[in-house]
Amino acid sequence: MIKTKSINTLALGLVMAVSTISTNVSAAPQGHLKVTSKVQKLVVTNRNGKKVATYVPAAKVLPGETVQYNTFFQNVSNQPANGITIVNPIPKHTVYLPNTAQGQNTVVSFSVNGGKSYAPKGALKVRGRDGKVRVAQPTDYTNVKWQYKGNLAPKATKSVGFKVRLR
Amino acid sequence: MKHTFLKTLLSAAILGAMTNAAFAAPIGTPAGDVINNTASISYSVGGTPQTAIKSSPTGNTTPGTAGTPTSFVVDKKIDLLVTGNTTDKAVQPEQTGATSDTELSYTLTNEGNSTENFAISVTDAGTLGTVGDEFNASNCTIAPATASLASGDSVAIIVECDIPVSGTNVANGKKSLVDVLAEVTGVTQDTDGDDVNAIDVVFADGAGTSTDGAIRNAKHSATSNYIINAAGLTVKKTQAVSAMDASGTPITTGDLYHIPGATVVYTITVVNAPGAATATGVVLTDTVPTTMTVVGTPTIAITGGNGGAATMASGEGVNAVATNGFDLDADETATLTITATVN
Repeated sequence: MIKTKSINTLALGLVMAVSTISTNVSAAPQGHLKVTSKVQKLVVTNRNGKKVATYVPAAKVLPGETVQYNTFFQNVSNQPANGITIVNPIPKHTVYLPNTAQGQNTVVSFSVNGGKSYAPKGALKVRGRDGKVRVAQPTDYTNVKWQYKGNLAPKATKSVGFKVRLR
Repeated sequence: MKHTFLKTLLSAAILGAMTNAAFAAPIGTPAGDVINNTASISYSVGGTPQTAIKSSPTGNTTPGTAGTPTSFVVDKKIDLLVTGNTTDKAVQPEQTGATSDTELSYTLTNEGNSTENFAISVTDAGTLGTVGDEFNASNCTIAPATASLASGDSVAIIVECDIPVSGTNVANGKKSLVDVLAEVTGVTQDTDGDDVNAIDVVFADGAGTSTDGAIRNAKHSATSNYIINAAGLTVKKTQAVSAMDASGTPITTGDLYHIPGATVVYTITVVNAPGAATATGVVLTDTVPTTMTVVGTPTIAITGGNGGAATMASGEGVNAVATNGFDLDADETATLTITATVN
């Protein structure tokens, strides 16, 4: 008796839940990817007399310290995604640390003009204060771009990262 | 020997400067600033480009919105620097800061990333008796004794002390180290890990001189020094028999004797060493033996250096020769010439 009642209640609940889901979908379109940005810093602690370096979430940072940014992208749809391009402006008051941009299966490029154009490192040029054109240094970079090669299968998660120093 | 000193125009200029801080660009991102980061992803599904999705700290799936920045806050970095700018300030024994120029110059800079208040003090430091710190100056005054500086700004500090009387360790070339210590006031370092709701305070200063002596204590210090620059006088007296015989005929060869009637020329020279301070009120005296009689008027002349003049005193006894007081600069020679005959 009780069981039947429960099943009926359950069926009713399911119907109501489905209705709720439908309402949500039409109110706010969801993309295929879930994009997360995390920032961490390396702290050295004494553990049993040994110095251990661990990454912890960076909540407070001192001028001169280094932080690591990671962008995670997960395919939350049921179709493969491709042509994935991640773009990250270098945050205000920070300087890109050379050779720290990384990501499995990606091609990395940089911008020195606020994201208008990108080129591989070493191929970028800037005009110095003396008016002369020179090769851009990592301190000149304004944005980092990763082009993820291939497909991102449903449910798969990948990440890219880079480091900056706080001025 | 009396010495007189004049306060120079230079010290007036320093007095003006010391009331002004020097303004410079801030050092480091200001404490309390929030640093935001947002990544943006564009992609295609089935060959069709999709609307880009911006990041959030916990994961965003809504395309076409601004996302939520991933943030951190900038902590307060306490850092300061004191420099001693005066090396070998030349002073004489018994000089006082109140009546003469014994100014030592220092600079305090706020090298942290926040505006802070500082307490500044002076000590006659160093290890007394070691080379480079042979004597102690005393009664040192310091201006300013407090300062409020924004990140990157500096203030000029002036110290004046009294110099002791001359002695073995207060002689030409002897030095005294004077130490200025600055401390950030009103801050304590956070040692309990990150405070979620407040900015942490971290001490990041280096170690200064002996009055500071430690890193990361919100203090820093530096030294300047005095050097005694006394006058360096050397006195020499020679006597020469004028090369003439009793009849006044010049003798060019042979021995010269003190013969009654012979003329003797006494020469007394005093030389002030190169680089030495001016000796003032120098008086040369000489008493010619009573077996001699002074002939004519003794003369005093100054050669070398800046030139200068000296005069003979009058009203002395015939055999008691004296000059009036005169100044002798470095590298000058004063020559007193007395001609006398043997009785």
